[in-house]
Amino acid sequence: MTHHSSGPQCPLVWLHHAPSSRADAGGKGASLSQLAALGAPVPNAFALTTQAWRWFAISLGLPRRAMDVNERDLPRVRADIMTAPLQDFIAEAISDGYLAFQTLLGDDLALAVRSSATTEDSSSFSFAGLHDTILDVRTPAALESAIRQCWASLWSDRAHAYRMVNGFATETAEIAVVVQQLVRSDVSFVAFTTDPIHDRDDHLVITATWGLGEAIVSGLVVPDQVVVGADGSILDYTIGGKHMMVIPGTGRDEGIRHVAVPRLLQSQPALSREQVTAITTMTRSLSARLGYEADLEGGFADGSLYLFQARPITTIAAQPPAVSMRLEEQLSVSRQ
Amino acid sequence: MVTTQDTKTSAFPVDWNESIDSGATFMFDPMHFPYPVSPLLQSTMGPAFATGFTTAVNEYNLPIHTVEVCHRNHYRYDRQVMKQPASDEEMRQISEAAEASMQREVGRMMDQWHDEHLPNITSRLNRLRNLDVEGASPDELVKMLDEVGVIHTDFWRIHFRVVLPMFMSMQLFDEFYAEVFEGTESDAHALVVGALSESIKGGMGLSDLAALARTLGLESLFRETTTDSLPSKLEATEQGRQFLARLDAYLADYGLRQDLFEYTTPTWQEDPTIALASIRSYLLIGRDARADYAAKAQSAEDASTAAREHLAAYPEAVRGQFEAMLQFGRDGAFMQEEHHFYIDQQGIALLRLFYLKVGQRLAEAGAIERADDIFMLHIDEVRRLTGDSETGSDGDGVRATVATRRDEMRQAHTMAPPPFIGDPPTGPPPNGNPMERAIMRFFGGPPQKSDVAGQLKGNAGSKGVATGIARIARTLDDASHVEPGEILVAVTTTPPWTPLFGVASAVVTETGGALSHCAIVAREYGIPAVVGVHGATTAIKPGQRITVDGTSGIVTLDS
Repeated sequence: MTHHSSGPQCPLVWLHHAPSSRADAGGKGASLSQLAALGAPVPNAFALTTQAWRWFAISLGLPRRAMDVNERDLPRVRADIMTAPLQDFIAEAISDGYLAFQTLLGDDLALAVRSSATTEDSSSFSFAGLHDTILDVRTPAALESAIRQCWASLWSDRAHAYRMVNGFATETAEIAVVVQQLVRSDVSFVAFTTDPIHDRDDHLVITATWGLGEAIVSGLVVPDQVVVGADGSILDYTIGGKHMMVIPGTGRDEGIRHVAVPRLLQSQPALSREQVTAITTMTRSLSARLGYEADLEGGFADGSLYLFQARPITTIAAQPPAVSMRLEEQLSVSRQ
Repeated sequence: MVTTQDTKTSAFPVDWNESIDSGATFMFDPMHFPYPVSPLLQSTMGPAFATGFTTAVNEYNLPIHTVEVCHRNHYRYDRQVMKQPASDEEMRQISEAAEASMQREVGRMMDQWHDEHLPNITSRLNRLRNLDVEGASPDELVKMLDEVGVIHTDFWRIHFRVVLPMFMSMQLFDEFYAEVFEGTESDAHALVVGALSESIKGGMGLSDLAALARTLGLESLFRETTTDSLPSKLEATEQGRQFLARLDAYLADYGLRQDLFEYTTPTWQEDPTIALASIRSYLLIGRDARADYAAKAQSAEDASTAAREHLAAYPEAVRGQFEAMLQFGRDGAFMQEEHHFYIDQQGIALLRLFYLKVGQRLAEAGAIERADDIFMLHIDEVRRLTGDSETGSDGDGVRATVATRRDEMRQAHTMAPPPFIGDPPTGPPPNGNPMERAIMRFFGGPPQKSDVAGQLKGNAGSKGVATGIARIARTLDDASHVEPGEILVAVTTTPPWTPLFGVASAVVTETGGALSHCAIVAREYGIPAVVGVHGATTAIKPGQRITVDGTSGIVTLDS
């Protein structure tokens, strides 16, 4: 706890303690802190701030803007990020954060480590899926490695190209890392505060699948899709293929796995009527206060509802209402 | 499909096209009826089975329209006539109705068994026990024959109401296990053994009797005496009589069993030789069926605990499904044994005893020579003789018929019945839904050929490997001579054979699949089994040393 004198202030912020800015905690971190402030059931999380990244990047002499680096130099940049020594105050911050989780979770400790770039999840550009997320991280060494991997993903070929093409070439690329308690969801969902299919902003669309939400976000499965009407009634429940699911490791084995969904469960609705109602109530209550149309990613574990992140919906602006387009295609547009 | 049997089929005369619609295919069922069946069984069980089965499938809305049974050269054949939907829409409706019905039945299988089926069976078994054949007038006797016919049909109706959800539940568990775990079928079955069914209790009773014999100091008598002369030797001493009293009490509960689906073989109550042979073997090897059962149940619990640990990180829905499916698997294995005990064993045994009493009356009236001649008659002939108070007049003709049929039966034993008669089956058996896959895994599917010399291939029935001397058994009587450590090789093993699974070191059958009775019982007894080995009883020679690998389904013959 003596590191404050040797480096910049607060390389680590707990997101439910105080509002965090996009500049400090990245887009994901900022929205999580907003959700927590609104009383949403978000799991405990801290952000390793952009300041930590900045000190690390500057000390290594890493490029700051997309235009500063040639595509073929990216592998070397990433290798440096993965291997260069961390400044003591960053290592200590990570260690402090880990110990706090250990106190909180004990043997159950499992973490979700998510990239949180300053440009992502803005209302015009999602950057979704460009940067890495590492799930079911359990040891200090794995946590440090996961944080480095998130940092390195700032300079993935795809992220670099995205910035070059979308007018971010001259902006400083900054990234925070959100470290969140991993909730072992029995069923996961992404709820949209508006209905992109019918272009009805009084409808709600929920996609859901078995296991962790990664299966929906990564496009691994065709999830169930629920359309909820203005009065909260289920207008449509379309059961998706859901042939695979993403689950945490078993016993001492950390790291997620992709496993088959038993045939009998593939054709079962992932969400009960009560769960749809719980998601609807929370989503409606939050969307009014968030101030923007959002998609909310969450899950149910042991009967409780959790939210993991909120993202502005970017497709509404980007896409004209296309009734013929399937929702999953829309999702893949919004997420790639 | 037919290999070695093809050459012998010419010796199986079938005047086929005269009596059967073209396009019909009747299948041989060597798992249940490997040998010629008696005329009385043909004419009673044939229609009872067909009507009872048909009623059950209709009550369950299955896509089967009717079940038919026919006999040629005293061998039994049957076929299922499928519903013929007029449109795709009707087809869809039929299959949806069947699926909904089976789902409902699997869910309430155990409740149905305890609340409805078991009381219905028990009341009918008691009725069969209590029919006063000796005191009935000829008219009353004819009415009794008709009533027994109805009871027999009820048995098969209840039988199929039980076994269809039973197969479905075992199949659902096995399929679920295969989807979620990386293990083999054997690993799946390790979780569902250990049900305390009546047939396991029957085995425990024999083991208790073996322990009693030791306590009473009868061990050397059992060692030194052949089973045939054991009863008289036991009768001669006080300890022996004590033992026999306990044996009688045991047989009152568990002695209504006999070899095969047939009336002609005596029940254990009538002839305790096979029970005594089992007790003797248990005594010699010191088998403790209660300890074996406890160990088996514990190993199933351990395997289930390991499975639950594996699933700890899975969504609650999967864990919940696992518990439901595990219960289905266990209930299914339990029902397999339980329904056999009540219907297949006690039902048929009591039918035999009833007809034997009728035969006794006919013999006393001079219509037939011996009571068991009745088994050589058709039920219509029995009814006519029973109602006719002047039966003696027709005696010579009937006796000639009995003699002819006994000859026919002997002749039939030398024939090799073809796997089907009528038009060849079209394509492989259906494999589209869990029920069809379960039936496939009950009967075992088409014969398999091994490419390796000295190896026979069948279905993995019960895991493990054992090497020993082959004991080829055509009948339960043959099988009862199996010595501890020997390997039992048979066309099929019916439930009354099960105590011998506690003596043999492994079992090989020509019929059946992983869900067959033989495979399930071998798992309960924890001995390796390879089932559905085409031609095993002829390819394996008596006394030959063989190795049974119940995990891979391969039998290796020592050259």
